[in-house]
Amino acid sequence: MLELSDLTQRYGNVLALDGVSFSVERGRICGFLGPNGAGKTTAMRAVMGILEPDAGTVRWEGRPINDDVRRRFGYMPEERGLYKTMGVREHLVYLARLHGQSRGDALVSADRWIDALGLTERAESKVEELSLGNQQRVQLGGALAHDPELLVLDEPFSGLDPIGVDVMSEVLRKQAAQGVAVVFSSHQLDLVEDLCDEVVVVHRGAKVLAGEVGALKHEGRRRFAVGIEGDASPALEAVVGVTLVTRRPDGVVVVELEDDVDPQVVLAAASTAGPLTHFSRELPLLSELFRRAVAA
Amino acid sequence: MAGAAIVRLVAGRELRERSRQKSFKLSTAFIAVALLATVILPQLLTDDEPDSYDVGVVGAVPELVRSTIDGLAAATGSELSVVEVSDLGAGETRVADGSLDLLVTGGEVVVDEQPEVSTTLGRVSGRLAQVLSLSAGFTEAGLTSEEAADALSRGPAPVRSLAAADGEADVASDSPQPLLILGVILLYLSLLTFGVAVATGVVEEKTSRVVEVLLSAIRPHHLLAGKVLGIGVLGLAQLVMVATPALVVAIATGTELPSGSLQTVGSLVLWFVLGYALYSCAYAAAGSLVSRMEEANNTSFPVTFALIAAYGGAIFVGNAPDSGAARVLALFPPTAPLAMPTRAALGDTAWWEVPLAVVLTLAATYGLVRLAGRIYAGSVLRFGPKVKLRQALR
Repeated sequence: MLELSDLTQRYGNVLALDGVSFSVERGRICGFLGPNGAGKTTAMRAVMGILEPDAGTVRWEGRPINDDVRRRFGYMPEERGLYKTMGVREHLVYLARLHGQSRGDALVSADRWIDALGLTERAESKVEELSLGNQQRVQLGGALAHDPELLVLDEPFSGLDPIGVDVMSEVLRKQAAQGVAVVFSSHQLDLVEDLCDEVVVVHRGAKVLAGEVGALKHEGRRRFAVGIEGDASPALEAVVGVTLVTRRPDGVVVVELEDDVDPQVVLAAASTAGPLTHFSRELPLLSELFRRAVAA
Repeated sequence: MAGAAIVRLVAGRELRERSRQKSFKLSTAFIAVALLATVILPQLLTDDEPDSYDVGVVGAVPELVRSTIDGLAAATGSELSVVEVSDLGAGETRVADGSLDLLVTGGEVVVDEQPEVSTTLGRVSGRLAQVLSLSAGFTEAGLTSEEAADALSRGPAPVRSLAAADGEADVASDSPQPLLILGVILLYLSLLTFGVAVATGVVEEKTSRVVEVLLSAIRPHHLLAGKVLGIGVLGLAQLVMVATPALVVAIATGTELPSGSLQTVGSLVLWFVLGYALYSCAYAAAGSLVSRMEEANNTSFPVTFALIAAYGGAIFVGNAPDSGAARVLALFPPTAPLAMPTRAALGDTAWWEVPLAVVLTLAATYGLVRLAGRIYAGSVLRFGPKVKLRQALR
């Protein structure tokens, strides 16, 4: 398990991290979210030991992280970087070896990832001869080539085409299934919603929301979408504890219920107003949760 | 994984990547050819000269001139055969058709084309012409032929140099000076080339951002050490590769190497290692302060300036190897790598001077490695505008 506790980092007058704590268990995918400049990259660099935070600790499997432990992590920085004149296979082998693999193991796993990432044809090409999308695949391969226990990926989906997104998502799912802890940052919230078991949202250096995606969606007031032939809103607004949120173009009305209101009462009120065409629980999109958390 | 293993990995990559570069191959080939040329060309030029000459003699040639011809044969190491010619016209014909190399008459020396002063023919004809005129003068002054011969046999008076210490000759005629000059130039160029390669290598890693991936796996000082080591080994390999063909040819063709050549070569190699260690760290620190190649020149200028000053120092030491300033330059770490091999080859060094220079340079290198390591670690992950030295050291 990866544990960040009370990470604090100041750059001049800017508090980049303000006591951020969260944890990610092995086998789980955590989406690390936040507006630009929220402190995501700083936190990820602290995990990777590239930056020594002013305060706070990072632990893996309950212990502080030393060089040998860190070599079992895989990292993809936001600013991609590879040696442009090295060959693809050569580069992956080099990175795997820097992470402690023997030459033989490094060769085997480099080839395995070259195949898995669809780079077989380009294995001997220089990095600079590849398209940006393919360079990104090599970058991911570099993070994976030494079979890490933890993957820290800063914006892994940015710049990928839909097929690239699918490849990346598939790789992350498989890694998690094999027991790897995965943390990645992204602004593509629909992707995060599909992929992540849990999310952490930071804003201005502080954690503002964290938890399992499913649980977070069920937090707060319940919402229902109600449709009848005709306008349901007058009947629904008449129920105590029900507020109108929006009316959709197709006439379906979304209402929010106070905690003590029974949905059956709402259903009954709607049915009396006219023949029922639609009744469903509305869960907020992750993007709505995000916006609310960041606006607060 | 141990630090040494990481450093070896990094160094191995530098060595592989850089030895594959076209620029490295081209510069190695170019320097090798240039060095080879400096060995072969003088031989080709001297080999052009024949070692036997036919000297025609016509008319009343003084005995003194005849005996000078024998003396010149010994002095120039060539065979001078004297051919008696019946008259001037016949002699001139034979000089013109080349069957005589020169013709001496009672009052002049006749050649086909005016020879270069430095050639054997030039020296022989010049000396004979001189003796012709001197012997005429001696006869007019009433000297006997013995007295004249005695006067002529005296060598020139000595030229005493005030700069030379202890009245010793400044530079022995067989000193390894051409080798030293070439060696110091090569040393200077190597330090500059491979030092700058370290600086640009560091900037390149920052520019391409690959450094962030690397530093997630290894420590900054391991990366720095591996880079410096890899490029240094490459530099040393280049020195060996360019010098070997020249040395092999020199030995194969029987060129006599001046005495002290081996010591000079040895000290040049030693000072490449020491000088490179010192300068490459300074270049690495300079490179880590910037993120763009265009800015690398600015921050590495002080280092390059020190290296140029060291080269200037070596030239100064070459001109006055035993002066007080030369002694200081040869010990002062930034100038020692170029000044000490020069002084060791040309000057009169006490037994402790070279070891002291080595120790001082090593001590300075140790200090610089620590400082450069801090600057490097403190600035290598700062992208964007140039990092101030103070920020990097914080």
